[in-house]
Amino acid sequence: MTDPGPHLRLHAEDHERARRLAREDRAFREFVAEFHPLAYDLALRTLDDRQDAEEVVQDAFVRIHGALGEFRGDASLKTWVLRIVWRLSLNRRRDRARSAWRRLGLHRGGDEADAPTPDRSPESELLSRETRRQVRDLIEQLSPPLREALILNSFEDLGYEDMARILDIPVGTVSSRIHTARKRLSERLRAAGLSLDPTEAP
Amino acid sequence: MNRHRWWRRRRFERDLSAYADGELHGAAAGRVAEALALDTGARRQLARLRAVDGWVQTALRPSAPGPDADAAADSIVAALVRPEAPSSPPARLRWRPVAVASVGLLLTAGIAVVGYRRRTRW
Repeated sequence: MTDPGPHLRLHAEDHERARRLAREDRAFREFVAEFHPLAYDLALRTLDDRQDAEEVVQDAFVRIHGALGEFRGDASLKTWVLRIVWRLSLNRRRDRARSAWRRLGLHRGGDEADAPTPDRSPESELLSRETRRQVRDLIEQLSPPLREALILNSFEDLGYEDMARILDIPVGTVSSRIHTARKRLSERLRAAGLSLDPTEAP
Repeated sequence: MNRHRWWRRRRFERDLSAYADGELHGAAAGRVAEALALDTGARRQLARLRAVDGWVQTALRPSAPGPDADAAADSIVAALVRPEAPSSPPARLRWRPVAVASVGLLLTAGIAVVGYRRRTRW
């Protein structure tokens, strides 16, 4: 196990935990169960496809298991896990973009947006699904750096510091991208006729 | 002067965005809080930011629960401890004949191209 030295080991408990996870299957199983929901949520928000998200998260944890010896404790385990999930999700997005099936828009129907919501009339369900799809498309139209910042910022328990580590950029850049992303999205929402009145917006 | 006001406004908007996320601290946070207390326009801007965030959550928030975490963990751990099949040869040995055949083909093609070009030149 690589020892970065005390001056770099900011998350000493996580570093110790990583050593244990590499040795004990039971501890690793608990670790996966603990972080799986967050990892899956991140992959799903990035990929908008449940099957892709499940596969990416499975792949991520298998790789994490193999890389536990490289964890140095200079970031928290949570941030480290999310960074790996994030990178794999982006790789999957790039691979998907090359698929003719996707380019022709034939993939719709297995997406997250089509999951039915209980306790809704068919009409409101359709309207809700259409609106979600519309806003999702507007987010997709943003440039990758802005879109990625917006996706990460949608997680309440991820601060700018976490996002900076995941994206490998300075905190100031995170702040700047989120601000610009909100501004651009705001313009597009308005152009699409979606209300920014807080009494009417979701 | 207009340029100065433009920069101040832009800086305020960026600070307001960070403030909305709880990521602005110290004197800068104090300035934004004061502006929000005194200026209706600033409060409307913050409300619009929150409305944008609301739309982002609408679009990105999963509408159905994800897979069961315990079942997923069992599946992933099972994949890690799966025993290797003893009779299958190591993967790299199977690629050796393919690699040799590919090199042979490339050499043959290269010799054919060189031979053809010599004939056509002379």
